[in-house]
Parts: sequence; structure tokens; C-alpha cells
Amino acid sequence: MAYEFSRPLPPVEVSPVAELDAGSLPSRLPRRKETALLPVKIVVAGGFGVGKTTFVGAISEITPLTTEAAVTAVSAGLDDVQFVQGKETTTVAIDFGRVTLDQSLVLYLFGAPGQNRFLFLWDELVTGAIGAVVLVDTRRLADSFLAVDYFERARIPFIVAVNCFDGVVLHEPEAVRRALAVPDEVPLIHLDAREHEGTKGALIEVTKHALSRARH
Amino acid sequence: MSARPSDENPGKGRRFVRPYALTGGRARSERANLSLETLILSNASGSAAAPELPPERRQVISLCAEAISVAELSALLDVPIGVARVLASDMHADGYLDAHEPMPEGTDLTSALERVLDGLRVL
Repeated sequence: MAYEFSRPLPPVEVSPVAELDAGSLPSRLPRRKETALLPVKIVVAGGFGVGKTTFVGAISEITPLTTEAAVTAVSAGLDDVQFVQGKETTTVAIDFGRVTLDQSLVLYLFGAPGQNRFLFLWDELVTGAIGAVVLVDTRRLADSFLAVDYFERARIPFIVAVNCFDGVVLHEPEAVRRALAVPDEVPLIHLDAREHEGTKGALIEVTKHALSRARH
Repeated sequence: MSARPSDENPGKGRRFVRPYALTGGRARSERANLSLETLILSNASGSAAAPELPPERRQVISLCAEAISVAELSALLDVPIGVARVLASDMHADGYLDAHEPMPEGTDLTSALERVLDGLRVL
């Protein structure tokens, strides 16, 4: 192994700081009104503890943020809670991240809370999504049935991404496909949700899948 | 892992102010309902009006000096998504915030997806 820093480093070119003033501080997106900014989103779904937030964090330019949605235990799906006395209100957190793709295009990644009782939240999370990644832990395949069913019924382009903890592929792709009963046209990949390249690959795959759907 | 609520640990609140007080108890705005990923950006009238606005709206104007999503606003203000949505929707309707919605009418899905793909490939 060579030590990269054993050789003298080439001189670093310093850009003139004087050109910067308060008005030209780098900002992620232009402030100008005439620029049409376009937000897009991809939903990351899967069972409890499968690595959704890890996946988001592996590629997000911000530390994944958390937003809360109120969940009314007895009235999931009801808009008006005034009729419900003594209702039990709790909150569920939705973790999300952000990837600026170009000057005016921002991709948001939303983790969909995995349990059944939060499913009513998915309608909103999924509306307008370009696609979804179903993260799968092959030791707990059944945890992904809900997400697969949901995206099939909602006709959202999705891929199945098997999260290989510690890089170990435990099951053959075809076995996973059969167990989940996903059709051949649904891409199935393996990744390590902690790794940038794996996460990036999954996002490319789901976007390609959405694109081929859009073209047909 | 932190002790914040999540789908793995739902339930525990940590706020002293009831957040829906900021919206007059409303969970949705009558005037508009921006989606989670809608990008919002304060404009000249927002900045001009800011000194006269209540503190939380002033804070929205300053947080939206750069384009952020409604979801980010919710996280940064530490209020539930419903509260952030009503605040942002109202302030958009008042003309203080510009809003860039996902896939506005006339957007070509195919070319949008191609841009996403190009952007992802160079990450």
C-alpha cells in the first residue's frame, strides 16, 4: 500500500475570496423567482428496522430530518376529529432526506413508516412520487408484503432492494422474487443500505423503471 | 439511536406549546394545500411584510430565504407536518411565499425522469 501523502502535494489553487460578497454566498438553489424549481420524490418503504433511514442517510446531502404526522388511534383516515372524544393522539415520525440533482431539480427521499396502522399516511407520501424502493431484509420477508401490495395496487413504479447486512447475500434473487410474488418486470437488486453507491444504484434503478413505464 | 419518536418508537411528545395553536386549530388550509415536497421560497413581499408578521411567520420567511420543502419547514420549526402545511399554504395564499409544486401541469414526465436520471448518475 502506498501512502498517498508521502509525496509532496501539488500546490493548491486558491480562488480569489474577494469576489465573494454577501450577495454571492453560495446557496444550494438560486433565489431568482423566474427559475422554475422542480421537486421530485421517491418513497423508501419496508418493515421495521430494515434500514430505511440508513438508506436515506447514505445519499442525502442533509442529515436526515424528521417530520411528525399526528396519528389519531381511533380515527385513522378521518379528517375531522371533533366527534371523537377522548381520542388517543400519537405521532409518527417520517424521516426524509434531500438530494439536489441540478440547479433547479431537488429529489426528496421519504421513509414510509412501516407498520400497518400507518398505512393511511402512505397515500399522501406516495402521491406524486416518481417511484418507490421496497427495502427487504430476507430474514423477515413478510415485513415487506405490505409495501409490495400497496405499490402494486397504487400502480406506483417500484423496485425491490434486498438490504444485505454486512454484504452477505443470504438468498438467491429468484427465491426472493418468488417469495414476494413480484412479477419479472419489477427490478430486484441487492445493496448495502449504508453505502452511497448502493443507494445511488437503487435510485437509478427505480428511476429507469419509472421511465420505461412512462414511455409505454 | 436518539430517543425521538419514529415508527419504531412512536408516541413521546416533547413540546410545551400545542402546535396547532399556531394555525388556529386547523389541520388544513382552506386556501391551498401544498404537498410535503413543494419547494417554498420567500419573496420580496414576504420580506417586506416580515416585520409586521407574528414571530412564527417571520421565522418562516427567514427559513425560506433558500428554497426548502414544506417537510423541511416542518422539521426546522419542529412542528407536525399538518401545522407547517397550513402555515406555508396560508402564507403562499397571502403572497409572501413562492411555491414550486411537484410536477406542475404541463410538465413532461419523461423528460423530468431523464433529468433525475442524469442527476443521479453524476452523484
